[in-house]
Amino acid sequence: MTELAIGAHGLGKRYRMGRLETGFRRARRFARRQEGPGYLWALRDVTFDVPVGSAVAIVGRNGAGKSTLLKILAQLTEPTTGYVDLASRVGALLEVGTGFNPELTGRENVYLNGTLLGMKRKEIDQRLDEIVSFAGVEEHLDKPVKWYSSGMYIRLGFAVAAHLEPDILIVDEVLAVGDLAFQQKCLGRMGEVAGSGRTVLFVSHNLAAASALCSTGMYLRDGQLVAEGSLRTVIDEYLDDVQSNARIDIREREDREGDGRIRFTDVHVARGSVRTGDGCEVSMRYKGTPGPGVIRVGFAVYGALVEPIFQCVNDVSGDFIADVAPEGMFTCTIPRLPLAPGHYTVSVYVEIDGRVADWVQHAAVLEVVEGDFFGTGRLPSDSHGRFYVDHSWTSEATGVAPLQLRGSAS
Amino acid sequence: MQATKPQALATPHETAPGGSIHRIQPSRWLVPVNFRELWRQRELMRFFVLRDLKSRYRQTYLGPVWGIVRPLLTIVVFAAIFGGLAGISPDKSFHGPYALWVTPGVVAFSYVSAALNATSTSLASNTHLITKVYFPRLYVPISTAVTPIFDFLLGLFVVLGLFIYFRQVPSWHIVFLPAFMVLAALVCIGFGIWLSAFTGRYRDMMFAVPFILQIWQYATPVIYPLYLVPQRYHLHLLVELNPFTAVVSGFRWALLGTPFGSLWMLASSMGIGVAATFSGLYVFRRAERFMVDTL
Repeated sequence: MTELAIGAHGLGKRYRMGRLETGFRRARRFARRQEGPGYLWALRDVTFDVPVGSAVAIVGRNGAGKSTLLKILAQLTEPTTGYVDLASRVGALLEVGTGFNPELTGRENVYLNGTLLGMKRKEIDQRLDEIVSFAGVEEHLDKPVKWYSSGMYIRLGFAVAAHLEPDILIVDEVLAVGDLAFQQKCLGRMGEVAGSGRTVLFVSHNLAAASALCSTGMYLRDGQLVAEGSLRTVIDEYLDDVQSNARIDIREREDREGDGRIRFTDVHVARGSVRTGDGCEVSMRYKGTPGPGVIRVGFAVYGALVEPIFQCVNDVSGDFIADVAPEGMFTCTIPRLPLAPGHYTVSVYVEIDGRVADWVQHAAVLEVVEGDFFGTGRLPSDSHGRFYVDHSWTSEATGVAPLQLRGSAS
Repeated sequence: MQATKPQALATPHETAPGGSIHRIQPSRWLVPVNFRELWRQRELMRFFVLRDLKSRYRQTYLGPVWGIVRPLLTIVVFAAIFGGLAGISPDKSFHGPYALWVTPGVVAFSYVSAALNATSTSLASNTHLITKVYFPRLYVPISTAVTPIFDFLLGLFVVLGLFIYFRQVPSWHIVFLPAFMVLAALVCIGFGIWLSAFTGRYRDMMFAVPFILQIWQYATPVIYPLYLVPQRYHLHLLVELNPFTAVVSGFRWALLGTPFGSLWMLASSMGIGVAATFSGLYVFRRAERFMVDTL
């Protein structure tokens, strides 16, 4: 039998919705026979084992319970039901640069941060040089971090956590920050940690990064563990869900957010498929009681690995919409769609006076087929990028000027 | 109830050898205090104090001078109003001006109010830490209660200055001053832990504490000597039960050699300090369970 790093059994976490109830309110509620505050199970009966030395990616949509699971594993909050057994030290990296104080110097912050993460002073002494050179802040080590650039700040934060050498490293979306080179460096470092027989739990929306780092995965949906095993099959299942969800009639979707003043009843993307380079219209029908107010409506397009590609929102395009009718349709016109052929999903969103009214993730499928984007009848090979960009080429000589011009000059 | 209850007797999972297995599960009503963990991460205390000191006077012109200006001005005002206008006389055995007599009490109580005010908001001001990383959170209120000791040390310069100004010498009891400082810190840590455990959940305390402290100062013999408290309605007993009475009285005894009062007053103050601290540890641990969810 393999040794386990994490063994979770029947894990559940319930949150209370709304405000704290005082004794007086509770008494009054009973007297009036009103219903109690609502509860929300962010995590429900989750059981899994993680063997020592494995790298596990946790995938799932927003609100699926990933963060709650990490919070429990990181000992930030208690589960409502069930238990987790952890073998030895957990290093949770829920945020880069946690607890950095702007007034303290880089060195002091390394010690503060390391101590917070459970390192002893000697361990930090030993690794200080390594941490500092990983972050590349040698010259600024004794300056207050308020003078650091945001890049330096993030690098130092990751460096401390990555060099803690915990037996279990939990990483949450840290790769969303920092430049590409540093992201690669972080991934490399996490690979090292995983390779050295430690256990890594990785949460990211970046499925490509997850596949590079992890071999196994867990898929959380509505607080429940619906798939675990090889990351490839887990991701496939996740993507299937996203795709099939997007094909469900939007009126039947329950997994939506917002207060429901209006609800989308139909999302229509150019009859389902559009040729690249052609114009396309995204129409969103809605119904409800919007009341007066400024509308902010938009949609976001995601690629095959649920990575965000672009979004269109009326407030950035400068199209003012307000005081809409109880039933109607928002239409967004894209004059020339630059997307490469493939399957995409579309999430839709509407806000009235700054409060979300409806938000459905992956509400529709957008299929882009080959078209004549450049007007030349040709397209570049589809392995290089997802976008086409208008461009043109010229050529000119930049060598030594011809001899005959010498006489006319000076 | 959708989720199954944990079975306490479920087969334990096999875990890595050598490493101690740590189980995270819903806790019962009494959450044990993990003293080993507190000891292991004791360095946090130093860093929290350092951090608070460094950021306290940032972007101020006078900086730490505030630690001297504040008690000095308070003493001047108290001397003018209570010593001058109201004509409160110091202890009979004390043969100096009221301004000097009131100083130890002012310095002592300004520590108390600084410590308790800060601890009542300490969790809220460390939300970013508490919600992102696990560490023994008890160090938040404890270090916050300890930090104002540095202001108190600055306040001692005021005391020294007044001794020179009035051409007096401190009593030899001054060697006991650190002991009373420890007593003050103990009581403040105890009360501070309780306060922070409550403000973690009910922010109301943040508004109540500054107000309560103002009143509490008048219930403590800061501006009047203990012997002036009348015996009727057991008022005397009430004032002596106040744990800060022993602190203020002790500071005055140590610096000026004025009578201390009864020894049982000292004992009860210590008792309250110890009891508040130890019960506070458990109250805090209980509150800690849902801190992240409510902060």
